[in-house]
Amino acid sequence: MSYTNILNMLDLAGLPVRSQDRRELKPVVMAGGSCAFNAEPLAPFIDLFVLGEGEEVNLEVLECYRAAKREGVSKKEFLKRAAQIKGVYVPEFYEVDYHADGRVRSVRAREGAPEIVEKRIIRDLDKVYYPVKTVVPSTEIVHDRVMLEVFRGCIRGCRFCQAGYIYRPVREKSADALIKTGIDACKLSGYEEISLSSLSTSDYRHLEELCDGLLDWCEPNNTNLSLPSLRADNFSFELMERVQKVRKSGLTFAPEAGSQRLRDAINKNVREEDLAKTCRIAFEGGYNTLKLYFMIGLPTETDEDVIEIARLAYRMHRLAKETSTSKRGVKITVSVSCFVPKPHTPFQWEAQNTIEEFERKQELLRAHMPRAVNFSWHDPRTSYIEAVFARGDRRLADALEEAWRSGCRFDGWGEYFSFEKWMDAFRKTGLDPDFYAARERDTDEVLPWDHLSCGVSRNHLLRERSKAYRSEITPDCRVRCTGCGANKMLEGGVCDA
Amino acid sequence: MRKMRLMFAKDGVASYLSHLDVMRTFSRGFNRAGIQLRHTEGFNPHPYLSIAHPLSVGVTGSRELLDCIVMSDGDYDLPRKMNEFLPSGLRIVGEADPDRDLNEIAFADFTLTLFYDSVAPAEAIYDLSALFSRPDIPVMKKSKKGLVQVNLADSIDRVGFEISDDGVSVSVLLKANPAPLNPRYLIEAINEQHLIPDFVRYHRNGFLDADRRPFA
Repeated sequence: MSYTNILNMLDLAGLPVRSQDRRELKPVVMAGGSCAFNAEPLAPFIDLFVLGEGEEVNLEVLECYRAAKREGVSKKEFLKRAAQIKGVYVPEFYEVDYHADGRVRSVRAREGAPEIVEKRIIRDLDKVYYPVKTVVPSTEIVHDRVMLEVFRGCIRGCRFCQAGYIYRPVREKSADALIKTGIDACKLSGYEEISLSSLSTSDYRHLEELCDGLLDWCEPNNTNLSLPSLRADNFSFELMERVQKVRKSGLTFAPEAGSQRLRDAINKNVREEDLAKTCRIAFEGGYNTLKLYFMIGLPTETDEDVIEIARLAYRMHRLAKETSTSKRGVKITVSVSCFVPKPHTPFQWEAQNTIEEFERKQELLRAHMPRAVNFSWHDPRTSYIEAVFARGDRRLADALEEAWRSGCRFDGWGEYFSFEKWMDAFRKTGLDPDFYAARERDTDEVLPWDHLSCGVSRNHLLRERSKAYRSEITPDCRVRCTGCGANKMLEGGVCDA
Repeated sequence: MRKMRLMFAKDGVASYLSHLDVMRTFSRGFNRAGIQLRHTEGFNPHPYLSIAHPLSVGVTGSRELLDCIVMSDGDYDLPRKMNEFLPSGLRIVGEADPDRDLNEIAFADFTLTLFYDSVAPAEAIYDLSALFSRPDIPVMKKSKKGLVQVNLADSIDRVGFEISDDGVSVSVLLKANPAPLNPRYLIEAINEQHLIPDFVRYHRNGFLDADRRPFA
C-alpha cells in the first residue's frame, strides 16, 4: 500500500514519475525488496530493480553506473549493461503480450536481457560487510534500537507466507560474529536496546549461545535484549526469563488459523497443546496479556474454521483466568486480518475472498467471540487493493498513477485510505480489480512474475498447494529437505537449514 | 560517582528536537563517548538525566542546564569527549556547580526576533513599547484546567526593543516562579494587537538568579 508514496517521492524530488520521461543518465531510479519479486505494477516508473539481497549487487550496479558516467553513454546503454548483472531486472527490456481477456500471453526479453531474472543471495553471511556504524536519527523512529539480523530464510514453509519463500535458502550467522557486531553497534550508536531480527528467532540454532554472549555485555551496560518472532511451539521460558529481566509485558503469538485442520492446510505447524502449554507457563509466571493473530479467507476455509478462532480465544481466556497469578487480571487480544494471496507462494493461484465474504466472516466471528476478549479486525477493502497489486501486471501502473494523481497517498494508513478513489482509478483506466484479486488462476497460465525467480521451483509450489488441499503438513526443512530448489543457489547445493 | 551540571547549546536543526528526543540523544551521546551514567534501578533502567526548564520545540538556547551522575570520578575531559559524539546543533559549552539549587533560578533571559515584511521596524517598536508598558496585558493561557486568563505583565520583569538586522529584537526577562512562562504568550499578546509578525525566532540566553546574575 506504499506504491502511491513511491510516485509521490519521485514527484516531490521534481522528477517525472515515468521512466521513459527521465531521459538522462542522471538520476537512475532503482528499487528492491520483497515487492520487486512482482515488480510489474511499478514497471513503467522504476528504471531498474534488484532482486534479492543487495550487499554485493548494489556495488556492481554502482560500478557499472560509474563507468557509464565516465564514458558518457546514454541511459539506455547503461541499462543494457546493468541488465547483464545477475539479479538486475530492467522492466523496459521485457515485452508483455496479453490474451484478449487480459491474461498474460507471454513475456519476452529484448536487448540481450536474460529471459529469467534470478535473485541474488549472499552465500556466507559472516563474510559480507555488515554496517555497525549506522545513521542514528535524533528524533524517535520506528525500530529505535540496534537491529541484529541472525539469519536469513525460514525453515518453516508456511504456505501463505511470501517471506518464507523469497528469502530462501536458510543461512545463519555465527554466534561469535553476531555478538561482536551487536556490541560494536551499541557502542557506536549509543542505543540501549538490541533486538534480534529474523523471520523466526527461536529457530536460530545458536540462540542460547548468542543470548549468553550478548547478555554478558548488556547487563553491566544497562542494555536490553529483546527477542521478537518467537514461536509458540519451541518457545523457551528459561531464555525469556533470562533475557526479559525488565518488566513482564505481553506475549504475542500468531496461530493464523483457528482449527488444527486449517493450520495443517497452511502448514503453520503450531498445535493447540503447544500454545496452551506456553500460555499456561506464561500466565503462571505473571504475564497478563496475550495477543493472538489470525487470518480469515485462507484457502479451504469453512465457516467452522472461522468460528474455531473464537472458540480458541475462549479456551485461552479460560486458561488465563484459571492459571494467572497477576493481580491486574488478564487481557486477551485477538486480531484478525484478511488473507492476501502472494506471488511465489503455493497460494499464488488462489482467488481472494470477496469483500462481502470477508465482512460476513467478520460478522460471524463477532457473534461468536467471547465478550471478555478484545477483538479487532482489518478493513477488507485495504486487503482487496493489496491483493490487486500483489499479483498485478504492468497494465495496473496506469491505475496506480491515476489513483496517485487523484490524491491517494499513505494508503496503508486508515485515515488516508480512500477506497472510492481507488475504484474510480480502476474505472477510469478500464481495469477490473476483481480480475486480479478474486480470480483463481489456472496452473498453466503465464503469471506476470514468472520471469522473476526467487530460486524456488514452480513444481515445489504446486506440490505444496495440493498438500494444502489434503490438509497435509510438510515438516520443516531441518526434519527433511523439501526440495524447493533454492539450495541450488549455494555452492555444493546444500542449504544451512 | 560524580554529580555534574553541564551547560549546553541547542541550535540549528537540533532546535527542532523535542525534550524527550534531546534526553535520548544525550543518553546515546554519553554511551557513544564511553561515559557511563548512573541508571535507575527499577525494572526498566534508564539514566538519571534531567534538564532544567526544557525548551519548547523550535526554540534555541545557548546556556541550557543538564544534570547527570557519571560513574567515574575524575573525567575532567568530559565536555570535549561528548562534543565529539553529539549530533549537529547540540554542544556542551561548560560546566556549572551541580549543588546549586535550581529553585534559585529567578529569571529566564530570552531574545525574540520579530520579522515584519511590510511594517517598518521603528513603527513596530513604537506600538510594541506602548503595549508592554500597560499594567494589564491579558492573555489566555492553557493550563491543566483548560484555558485561563492571566496577566502577562505579572510575568515580565523587564522588556526592551531594538532594531536589528532582521527586524525587531525583543529582550525580555521572564520571571521563573516557579517555571518561566512560555515566551510565545508574548507573541499572542502582540497578535491580539494586530501587530502580527510574519515570523518569530525564539532564543533563550540563559537563566539569572534573584540578583540578576547568571545562574550558571
